[in-house]
Amino acid sequence: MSTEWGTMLWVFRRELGARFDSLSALTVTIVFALVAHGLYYFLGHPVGDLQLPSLWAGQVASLQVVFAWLPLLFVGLIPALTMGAWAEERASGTQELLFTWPVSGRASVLGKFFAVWFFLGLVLAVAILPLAVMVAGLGDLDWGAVFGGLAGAFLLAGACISISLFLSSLFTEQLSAFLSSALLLGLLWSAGLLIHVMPPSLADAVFYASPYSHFFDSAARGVFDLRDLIYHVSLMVAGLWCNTLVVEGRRWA
Amino acid sequence: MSAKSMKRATQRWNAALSIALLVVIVVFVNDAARKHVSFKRDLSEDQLYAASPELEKRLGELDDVLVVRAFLTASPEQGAVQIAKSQLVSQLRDYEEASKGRIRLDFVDPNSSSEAKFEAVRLGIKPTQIAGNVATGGRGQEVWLGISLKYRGAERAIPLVMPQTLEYAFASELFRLMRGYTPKIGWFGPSQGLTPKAGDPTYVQARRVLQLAGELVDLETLSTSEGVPDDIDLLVVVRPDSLHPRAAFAIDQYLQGGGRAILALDNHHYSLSGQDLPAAHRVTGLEMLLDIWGVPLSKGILWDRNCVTVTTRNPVAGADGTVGDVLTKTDYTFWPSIDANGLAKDVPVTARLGGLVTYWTQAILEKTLPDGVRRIDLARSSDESWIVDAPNTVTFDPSLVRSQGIELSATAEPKSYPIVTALTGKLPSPFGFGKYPGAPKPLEFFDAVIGDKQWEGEVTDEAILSGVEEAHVVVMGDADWLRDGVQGYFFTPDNYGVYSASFLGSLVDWLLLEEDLVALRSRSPISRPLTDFLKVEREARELAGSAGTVNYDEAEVRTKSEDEAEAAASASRTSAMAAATGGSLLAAFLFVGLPGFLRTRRRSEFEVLDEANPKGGKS
Repeated sequence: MSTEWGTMLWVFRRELGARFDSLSALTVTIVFALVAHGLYYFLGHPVGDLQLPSLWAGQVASLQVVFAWLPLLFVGLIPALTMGAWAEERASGTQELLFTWPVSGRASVLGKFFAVWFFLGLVLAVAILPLAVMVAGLGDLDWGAVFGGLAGAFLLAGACISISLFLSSLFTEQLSAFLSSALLLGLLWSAGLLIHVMPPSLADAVFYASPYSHFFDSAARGVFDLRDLIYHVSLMVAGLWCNTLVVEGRRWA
Repeated sequence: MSAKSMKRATQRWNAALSIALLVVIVVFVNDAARKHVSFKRDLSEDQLYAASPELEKRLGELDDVLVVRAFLTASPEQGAVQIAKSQLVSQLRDYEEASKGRIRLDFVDPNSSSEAKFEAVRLGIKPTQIAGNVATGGRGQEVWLGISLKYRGAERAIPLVMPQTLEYAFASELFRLMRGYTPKIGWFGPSQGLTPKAGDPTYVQARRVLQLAGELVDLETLSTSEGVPDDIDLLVVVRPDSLHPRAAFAIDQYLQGGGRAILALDNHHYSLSGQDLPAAHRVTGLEMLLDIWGVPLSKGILWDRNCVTVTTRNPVAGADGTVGDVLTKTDYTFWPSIDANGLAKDVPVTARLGGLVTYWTQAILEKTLPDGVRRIDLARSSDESWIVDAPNTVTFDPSLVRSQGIELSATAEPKSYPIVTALTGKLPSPFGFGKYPGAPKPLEFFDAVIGDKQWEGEVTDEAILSGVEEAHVVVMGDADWLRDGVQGYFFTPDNYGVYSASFLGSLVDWLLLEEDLVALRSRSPISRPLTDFLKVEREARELAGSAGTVNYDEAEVRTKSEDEAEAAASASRTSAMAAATGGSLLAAFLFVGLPGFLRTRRRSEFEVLDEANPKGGKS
């Protein structure tokens, strides 16, 4: 077990190091921060049932607008971060090299997963904490809601990453991995918007399956709900297990 | 097929089956969690999204089984209603768990059970007609979203609930069931179901709030009856006008008997309809009481810089002869806007209220209080208020406001005045005993005849109560805030009246000693305004309280200082944004860019070492 833990850590470091080596990590962080800030300052959240004004129009010390955008921002960001995780390894042939090392499929999957998750956590902190500090300087910010929102966003990101990584493992081309992943996450995000046109029995189930209902209706408002934790963890476990199945299957094929 | 390809196919099948099984497990686990897990903790300061401690406490105090019957349509055709229904079910299950077995929960659908439908109708629960879902070909549906609570033989119903209102409605009815009776609220004021004259204020919305809190009883007159009925738990007196001393006596004696009252008073009557009542100073008839209690009203009204900005549209002729509308914004200083700083923080009624707007308001002056009487000022005007003579007409004129502001600043120091005050204690009576100079002696007015009715009581000086029981009174220097909404002002669910209903409801609960309900009602988001840079800059430049005219002539009319203030405010906003975004960029370079740069540099150093020492060395 300790060897597997060690190899997982080794993969984690390797993946994270590779990410930091390229300028893309910095670019992604800066673009994400600028987009989130721009939406918060100038646009608000004019989408769906949840219409929120921008910071200056609303004049309220709250980060709800940023949190409302996060699930949609993840639809673009997470597939971009994960598309190369397996697809590139397969395309460049490094996957076979990886399989020759004494690293189990589970350790590889977990190492890659935690590397992306850690990086995304960093991106979230870098983009959102300075905003929170600024807003707290201008009004009475509810820090409980902010930390609840950040924790919820981190969990949501974990669930999305595990799904995206699994999809990445199914494709050889990065673009296919990106598109399929973005499509699936986009569908999950839009489930909350489509409930008005769905049959009622389906609407209820789809709304519950949507990450939106497990993030914005609870964590983004500072509420810890055990059902949300179960939802996110079950998605993570399912995604990682499927990913491991695919990788292990390929190793022995 | 070769053995290898067969093996590969088998592996694929196994993988596909495993994934399908996993999906089923995930769905099953989440479905089970949805139905059986209800652990939830609200980490926010607002505490809006989890069962409140007050409700949990009351549920823990149940010493018998509470039967909760939810009359919910099983499958609403609209997805949004279906989700609301699911949330209601989830919330009720939370309550069931919090009660530790004292709640028996029962779900029925009146659309599919005639017995349930009959029972719902008997309890006054009615279905709501919702439009059909066009996308799914629905044709509309009667939806039931009602709840009944049964406890120790008594039963109460909530005809229509939504997730946002469930907790308060559930708790109200539960408290009443546990207490065993519904409080009676006496309404003594104008427009009691009669058709009001044009221009007269009506109070339909405020009365609706009172009806939610208890049984509303209209007291037609206090002058000719035997006073306030004994079974009235709370008396609400709204805009009394020249009350006969008998009515004042009835109110006084009700309070002497330990009564509770809200007195919303106006010495000046204004209207926005153009059919103004005379704005001259009027007499409420309660002046004696207020004076002896130590809370007299000012004769003039408050002029407050912190006020409502009114937008009016006036036609003007341009230079080319065309007529257009000019939009004028006036800081109408006779409508004080009380912000969170002006509200008492240590009283549950106002602790979490975001604000309150009052209209043509009298200040409650500060006088020596009778012995043992406690005074709490629930709402106060801003520090920049003056008491001025009430104007005869309603005029929205920014230049007039500006000149008044300059004149007032030059003549008197501004100060904050109480607008809503609560008194608790044994209040003295001005009647009888010769305690209050000028008060009519009881026999002088008890023998008088009003209309065709004679006062039936037999009252002597000795029979008059004074300072006997502890009374609770809330005196308000304004009654207009209770008026039905007009043009977005007064008692409206939006705009400036947004807090009125919450304030009135909380006040009633507080006076009825249902402080737990006050805590529940005030579970609205805490007001968290951002720094208003424009206000800060204007205050720094000592600009008058008028917002000025907003039209194409604006630039010409505005003073240089105002332009500077706006520019400075804009610069402050930009600085704030730049600071936050700059902070993010700096953090990105420090935590993402720098580690990457250091790794790359370290690797290139090793590469140089490798080149210099190709036969050995570590790299």
